[in-house]
Amino acid sequence: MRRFRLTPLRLSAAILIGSLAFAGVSYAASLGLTSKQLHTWSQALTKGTCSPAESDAEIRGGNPNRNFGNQSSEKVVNRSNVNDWYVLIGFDPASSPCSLPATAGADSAVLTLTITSASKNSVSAYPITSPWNAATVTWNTAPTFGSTPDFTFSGAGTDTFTVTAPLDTGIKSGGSFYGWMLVDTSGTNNATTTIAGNGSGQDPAIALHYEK
Amino acid sequence: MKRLINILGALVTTALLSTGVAAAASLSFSSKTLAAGSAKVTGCTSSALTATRNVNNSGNVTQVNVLSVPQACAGETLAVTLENSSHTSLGSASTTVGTCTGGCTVSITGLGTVSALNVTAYAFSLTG
Repeated sequence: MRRFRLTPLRLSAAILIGSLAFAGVSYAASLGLTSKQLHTWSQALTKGTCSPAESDAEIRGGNPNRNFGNQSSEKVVNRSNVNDWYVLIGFDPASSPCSLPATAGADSAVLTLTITSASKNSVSAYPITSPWNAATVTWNTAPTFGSTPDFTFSGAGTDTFTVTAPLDTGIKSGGSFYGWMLVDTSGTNNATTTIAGNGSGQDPAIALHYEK
Repeated sequence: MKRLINILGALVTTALLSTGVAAAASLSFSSKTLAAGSAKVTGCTSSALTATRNVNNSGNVTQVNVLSVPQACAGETLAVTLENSSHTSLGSASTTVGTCTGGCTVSITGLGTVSALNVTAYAFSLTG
């Protein structure tokens, strides 16, 4: 075998290869232990359906201390804001049969109301914002409610309303979903809208698809 | 014979360089003492954090809220993928974890139009 001779060309080639290798090592050293840290996990969701427990009540401006809770028919009456009648309908997704925790949510929620008789007036459903009890609530102890209705209706018949967002928010409030206050907001004086109430067989009901 | 020696020399040189570069990827370039080894990567959390989500009245997911994210994760990127029952992605988004006191609730928006009815799982990642 011939002896290896270091020529200028071979020396240049060696320097070039060495430089490239050094650059490669430098780049490689910037990877590895200093690269992005990663943590991954997943969360499975349980799906189901239920109809939250319902209660309702009527409150009358002309009888401010009397309770009209859980009647089979509830009336909304327009009497020039002096002796009006309001109807409260409430649902409790946190209690049986739904028993949903605050980490759950509504995938969809549809409220069904049966209006057994109606005037030409419109009724607006305002979100109730403080607790109330159908067995004790009166005009003078009425809960507070929002100023923007979630839905309105008029005329007799069975109506359905999508209430997914209010139910989702209510579930996440941890048992602080208070339902709606039904108020006659337009039309003539002394008009009456009658709604099938608790125990009527046509109780207000929510078909709830939930996740938890 | 000379050509064969040159080819063999080139192959050996290439092989050695490749091995050296590959090994260097596991080393600490900035250390004064060169050493090889392995270390467990520790992120800001190793917990499977719980999340909730919000919907609009159409039932579409508007945001995912990851609860109790440790403060140590501030500055890291939190990503979520909404999956159906086949673990197919229905939408994904990410955000940078902000600073807060104690455990943070991190909200991720921009998931597109995804019906909550179809979402059966969330897949998360935290990168820093």
